[in-house]
Order: sequence, then structure tokens, then C-alpha cells
Amino acid sequence: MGNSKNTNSVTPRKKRGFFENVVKYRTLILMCIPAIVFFFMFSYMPLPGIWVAFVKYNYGKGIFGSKFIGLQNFEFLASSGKLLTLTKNTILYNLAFILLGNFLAIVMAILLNEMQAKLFKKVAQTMMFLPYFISQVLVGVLVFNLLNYDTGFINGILEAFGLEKWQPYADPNVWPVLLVVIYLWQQTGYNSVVYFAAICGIDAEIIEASKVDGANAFQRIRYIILPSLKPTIIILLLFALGGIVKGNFGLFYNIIGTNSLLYDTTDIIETFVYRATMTDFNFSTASAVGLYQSIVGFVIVMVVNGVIKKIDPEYSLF
Amino acid sequence: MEMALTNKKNFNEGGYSAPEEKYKIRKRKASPGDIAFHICNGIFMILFVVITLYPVLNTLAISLNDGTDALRGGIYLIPRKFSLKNYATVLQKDNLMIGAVVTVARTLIGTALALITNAILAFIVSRKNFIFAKQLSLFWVITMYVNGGMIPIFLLYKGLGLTNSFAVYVIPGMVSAFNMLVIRTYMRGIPDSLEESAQLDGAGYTTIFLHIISPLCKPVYATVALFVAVGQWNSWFDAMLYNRMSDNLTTLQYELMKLLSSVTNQSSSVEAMKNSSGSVTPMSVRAAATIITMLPIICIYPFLQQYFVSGLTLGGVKE
Repeated sequence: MGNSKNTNSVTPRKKRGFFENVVKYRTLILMCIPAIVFFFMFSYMPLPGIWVAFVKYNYGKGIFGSKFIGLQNFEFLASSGKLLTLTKNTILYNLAFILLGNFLAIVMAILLNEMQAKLFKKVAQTMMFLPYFISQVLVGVLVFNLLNYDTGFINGILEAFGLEKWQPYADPNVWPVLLVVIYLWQQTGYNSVVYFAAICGIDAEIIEASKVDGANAFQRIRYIILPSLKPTIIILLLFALGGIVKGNFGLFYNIIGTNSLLYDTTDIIETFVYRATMTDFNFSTASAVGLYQSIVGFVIVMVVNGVIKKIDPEYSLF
Repeated sequence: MEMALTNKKNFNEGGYSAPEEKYKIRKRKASPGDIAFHICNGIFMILFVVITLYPVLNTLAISLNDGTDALRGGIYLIPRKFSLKNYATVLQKDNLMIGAVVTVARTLIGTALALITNAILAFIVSRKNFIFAKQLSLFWVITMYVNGGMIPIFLLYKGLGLTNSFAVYVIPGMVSAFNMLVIRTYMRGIPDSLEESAQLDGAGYTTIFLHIISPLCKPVYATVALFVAVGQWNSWFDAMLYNRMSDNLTTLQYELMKLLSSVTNQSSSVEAMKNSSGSVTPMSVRAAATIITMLPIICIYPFLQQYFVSGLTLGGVKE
């Protein structure tokens, strides 16, 4: 990056003006226009609609005809404590997903890399990937089959041992753990690919040399593999943190659904917005939460991108 | 997000070349610690594979078991009272077949459209010195994190006539910033000299894209196609939100979801099912529908997996 000036002086090139550039790249610019229109239409056109967060929505009058009530929608949410609960749940779940998810992914990648039997290595990797391709609707079914009160796998075992049956669908306190486990089950195989790739990229001679010097598997992992994964880990964590206020709607909605017994510990921003819209028709409240989420998310992305730019400009998003 | 990182170094080496080939040159006797490690590792891996597979196999067993019998519980991996009635019941449901047709159609059309548009866009922004590359990237990346929210988007789609139409499945999600970034990263790794020499021979951007860049991008194209196809196959939310009223536009996953939420009026559906085909229960039918929906993905994905890994690897991470 830093030596771009030097290369310019080696091969002197006439500096072009803006319009000359436009002419030079006219084909590319023309090719871009449909895409710009597309993004403008589907991603930017809905943005003025966030106005609905500041009105008392009236379906007949439309978004801009409804009565303006300022920040009342937000005040209601904040004073009822709802906003705090939602934010807390969303962020804590995401934090657990990101930290544990990456930790487990690194462990799996390292262990997979250490495997000796080639065929088993391939089979194991294939199996690890499988859950990623199963839709979240199906994950909901699979989880229900395991955990339900009457015929679930877990209760089957408990019953066989004469123990009291377990009723997770009526107990909000167990879900933070369960949801994290389910998330890890589904995502670990996929997440580990990137780390696996990074391990494959380590110079084989270093590892070879360590073996000659008598390092055992633990020492190899501790002193060679982990340090070389460090940049990857940092960057991936930072990227993931950029999306920390974005909840995983599919996971929560398909597993918890409309089981209001569990909302205390499992309601995230996305599920609340969905319910407020589709079952309560409370468009303004839903939009207020959505807007709040977008703003917080935007700020976090900007900060994270700034930090990444400081660490290594090549990784930055924009 | 992972793939949005750059990797120039690995491109020519094929980053997925297994390093263990090189270990074999000089093999040292394994120490007891190493042996213990490998045994533990093997056990751990087997355990992990079992945990991954068990829920799927359990559902398969329930789907192949007699419905009423399954309600007694205690079915783990092998069906106790074998029966195919659950599958017969599922296949008799009209909507499910319509859903299957719609799902196949949206998967094929949606994947083709997404791949073409994302590839073209990635090509444009990956051109060196292209004046607007940075601004365009920002314009797109913002859409990954900020959106207008469900209601404005719904109203917009309604205004555009996208609700109750097939187009809503394939058009709005056609170009995605994320997929584009994956392809762009990969394209940036292709040596400039290839393009420059083609330019000297008088090739325009279309020729360079079609005959020089695209053939080299097969792994990343396959990866993105797999992403999109799996997403299309598994999606249910758009059917529920935008096409709730049109039964002939339903999708497989949405039908499955409706089947699941029929838990509440379980008794009535049990009656209905008893009349039609003997001993099936909502639970066993659900299990059968789950397996049917999952089957195509499970069959296809081992074949695509090799591309998937190499596409991600190459577009992946700097050492």
C-alpha cells in the first residue's frame, strides 16, 4: 500500500482527470448502472419508511399521512424496559455465538488437521458440514424430536432410568444454554473451514522442523499453529462483532416460535419486531425497534471497520 | 464475512494442497504423548460426528416407524415397527407437491440469476484503478448492515407488485453484497498480467470477463452457487411474508413449517389422518416431511463439497 507512489514514479503515467477517467471506464460504468438502480430500489428506497417509527401508524393514511408523535414510540419501549431486555438478549446470545463458535471452530480445525487417517478425515469433515445445509425449519423439528416432553429422546432416556421427566419447553432458564449448543451444532463445521484453510497455509517446513526438534503435538499446536492463526482470529472476531446487534431470526423463531413462556430469556430484536408486526400489527413500535437496531449496528460497523483499517488496511471493508 | 478477506499468495499454489504430504519425507517415531493425543483426537472426532448425525438419524427412524407406536417413545436409531405410511401421507398432501415444484424452480432460476449478476458486479469492482470501486463497495456494504425494516420493505414490494408473485423469491435477493465480496476477493487474486496481455491483444471487458477471468473463477462460482442454492432451497420466510395468500406459490419449507405449527390443533389433524391412512400421527408425518425436504440437499452436497472447501479456501484468509 505504502509504496504505491514509488511504482508510479518507476512507470510514469499521465495523471488523468475525473472526466477522462469516466470516459476511459465508460463500459464498466454503464455495466454498473443496473446494479446501482437495483440496490437503490431494494435497499435504499425503503429507508425513508423508517419515518413510521415516529408516527402513530394509521393504515388508511399511510406512513407519511399518519400523525407525527416524535419519540413517543421509543419512550414507551425504553420505559417499559423492553428495549433493554431485547438488546441484552440479542447481544449476549451473539457474544456467546461468536466467542464459543470461534473457539470451537479453531479447536475442530486443529484437531481435524492433526488427524492421521485420510479417509476418516474426509468423512469427519463432510459430516461436520452437514448441519449447515439443514434449514432452520428442520433444525426446529430435530430439536423438538429430541426435547419434547412425551416422546423426546432425552425424556426417553430419563424415563428408562426411572428419573423425573424434563420439560425444557416450559423452562426459560435452560434455553440460553440450549440455543448456544444448537447454534454450535449447526455452525461449527462451517466456521472451522476458514481456520482449517489458514492452518493448511502454514509453511510445512516450520512444522517439519519442529518435529525434527522433538516437539510433540501439544507443543506444535501451542507454539506454531496458534500463533500463526492469530491474525485470522482477530480479523474474524472483529467482523463478527460488526453484526452483534443483528439477531439470528431463523434460529430463534423456528425453535422458540410463539411459546411466550420462554420470551424472557429468548426474545431477541428480530423476533420481537416480527411479532409486533405480524401478530400485534403494531407497526410503529416494530419500526422503532428496527431503527434503533440499524443505528446501533451502523455505528458498530463503522467503529469496527476503523479498527480493522488501523490493524491491516487490506482487510477493511471500505 | 470470513471470505471477504484477501489472499493473493495462495492463488497459484492451490491453498488446499494438504501439507501432510510433506511430513512424510522424514518420519520420527511418535512419542507416547503424541500417541495419546491421536487416540483422544480420534475419539473426540467420532463423538462429534455422532452428535452431528444423531438428530438426523433419529428423525429418520421415527419417520419409518408406525405413528401410534412412535408415541410410546423410546425410538432411537432403528424403527421398532416399520411402516411407510408416513411417507405415503406426506406425498398425498397437495400443497407439498406444489411447494416442491416451486422450490425447485426458485432454486434453479434464483441461483442462475444471482450467479450471473454477482459475477458481473464483482468483475467490475475488482478492476484495478476503476475510479468508483471504493464508493461502490461502500454503497453495497452498507446494505449488509442497515435496512429500512420489515414494514417499509413490505410496502415497497407491494407497491412494486412483487407480493403474491414468484418474482419476490428471485429478484430482491439477486445481488447480495456478501456474495459479491466473496467473488471479488477471489478475482483480485488473479494475476494482472493475464488481463493486461489480453488487453494488448485487443480484448474488451466482455472478452476478458467471459474467456479469461470466468474460467479461472470456477471454484468460487461453485461456492457462491452452492450458497445461493442452499439458501433458496431452505428459505421459508419470504413465502410466509409475501405469498401467504397464494397457495400455488408456496414453498417446501413453508409447507413444512405449517405442518409443524399444526401442533396446536393436533387432535383434529390426528382424526383426519386416521381416516385417510390408518396409523400415522402428526409427529411421524412431520418426521417424514423433514426427511423428504432434507434428502435432496444431503444427496447433492457431498459432490459439491470439494468445490465448496476449495472456493472458500482460496477466497479465504491470508496466512
